[in-house]
Amino acid sequence: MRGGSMEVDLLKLYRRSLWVFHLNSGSCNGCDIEVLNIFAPRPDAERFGVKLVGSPRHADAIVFTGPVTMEALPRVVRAFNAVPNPKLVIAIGSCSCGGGIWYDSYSVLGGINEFYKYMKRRYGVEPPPTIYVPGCPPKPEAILYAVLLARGFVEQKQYRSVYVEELSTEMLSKLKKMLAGEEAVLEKAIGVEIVD
Amino acid sequence: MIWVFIGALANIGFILLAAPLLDGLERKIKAWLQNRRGPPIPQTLYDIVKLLRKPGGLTGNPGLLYRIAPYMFFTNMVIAFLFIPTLLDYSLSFIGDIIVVYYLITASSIILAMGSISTGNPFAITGSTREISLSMAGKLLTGITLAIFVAVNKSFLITSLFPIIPPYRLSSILGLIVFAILVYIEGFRLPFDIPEAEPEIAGGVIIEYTGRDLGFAIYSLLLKRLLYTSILLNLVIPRYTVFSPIYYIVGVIVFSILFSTIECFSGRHRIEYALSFMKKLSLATGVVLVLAVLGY
Ligand code: SF4
Repeated sequence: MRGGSMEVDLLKLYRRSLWVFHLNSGSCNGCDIEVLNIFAPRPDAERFGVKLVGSPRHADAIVFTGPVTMEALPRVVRAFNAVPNPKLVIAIGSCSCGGGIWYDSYSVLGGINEFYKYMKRRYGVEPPPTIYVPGCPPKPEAILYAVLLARGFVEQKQYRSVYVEELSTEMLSKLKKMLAGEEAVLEKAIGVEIVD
Repeated sequence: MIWVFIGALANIGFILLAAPLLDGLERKIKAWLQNRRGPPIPQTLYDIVKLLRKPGGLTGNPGLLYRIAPYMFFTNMVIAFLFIPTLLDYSLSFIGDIIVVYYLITASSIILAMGSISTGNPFAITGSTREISLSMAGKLLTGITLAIFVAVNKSFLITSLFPIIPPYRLSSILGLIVFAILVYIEGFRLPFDIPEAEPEIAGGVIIEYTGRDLGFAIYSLLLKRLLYTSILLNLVIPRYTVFSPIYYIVGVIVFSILFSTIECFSGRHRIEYALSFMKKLSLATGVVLVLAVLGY
């Protein structure tokens, strides 16, 4: 979860009931099927008071699926503005989280963050609290987890850790043989000085 | 007199609580029938409380009608409940109160639809025309059915219509059956009307409302559903006994279970089917009204 502070009030307000509006901003329909899946008998999101509503004016949260395409952008902006404050955003799928495989496509604005940048630049709208659910498409369990995370039922599991593996000397010499004569390029790429 | 007033107010306090809880019960039953666990029974109450805590918002520059429509609908329903005995046997009454109740019910649908039309949203207009055509058909049927009971009892006093007592007459039995169907229809249940009509018209008549306004609109729709059920129950259960609150509570629960089960097994239809069904039913009910006037 990132962006906007999740105020205690918001948590309290949506603790027992959360109505979501499903916004497909250019998805391949994989994520949409998974979103509908969480209302099916097995995951049954309705038991947590989640309801899918047809009008953005009724919604408390927007479920984004897919990257924001240029074609859909004006409608996405309208739907986004129509959802009354305080609102939540749940970005479902890799496409929505960061653009996915379309991240640098010519007809695509990008993931939800690019959309927020656009909204900030164009309308001065601050990004609302956002929950990211990566996966292509994410499992229904993951989506359910996100919905419960939004309402303070479960803790966020994600933690930040950066891990860099050191290359062994044999590996390096193998690489060196493979790329004979391109040491300088290799050194620049991995940022390590190669010694025999 | 003062006791009647206090009793009627207690009734209103009860129905304000009961209407969302009954809806929650119906959602639970529908979930069970679909092999789901379903939301907790107070879920609709939680939804409404959440909506009432959110600020209402307006899009564009809507008219006065749009702004006050949910509140007028709500007040209409609450006032209508003053004339119908629910939990306790107390209700306000004067000669002709049945006409007042009929007016309040009819006006409320029209107010909601007109408020919605004034937004200019194409979906809202589609939803409103749909709401108006359905409510025209439904209210006509309500009018004819109530007229049957008025003709049978020869009285415009609403409490004198309740309950149907022996000797039973053919017209009052037929009228009761039609009214039971009508309660299903007017309770915006599945094959007939879906005010939220989510996928097709994105919210229909209440599409533009949000927050507090939406909360009142939904609350009023639930109250309307309970109002019809209460009138039906009053026609059936014995009144003015110590047990009438128990009869009433058991009655509404039984009807909720019955209607939600029927709803669970019925699919969506196009609106014409509902209208043509109601047209045929109205014609048949008209014949029953003639029978009632003739004294059968
Ligand atoms: S994340 Fe995968 S499944 Fe979801 S919209 Fe993108 S490509 Fe489709």
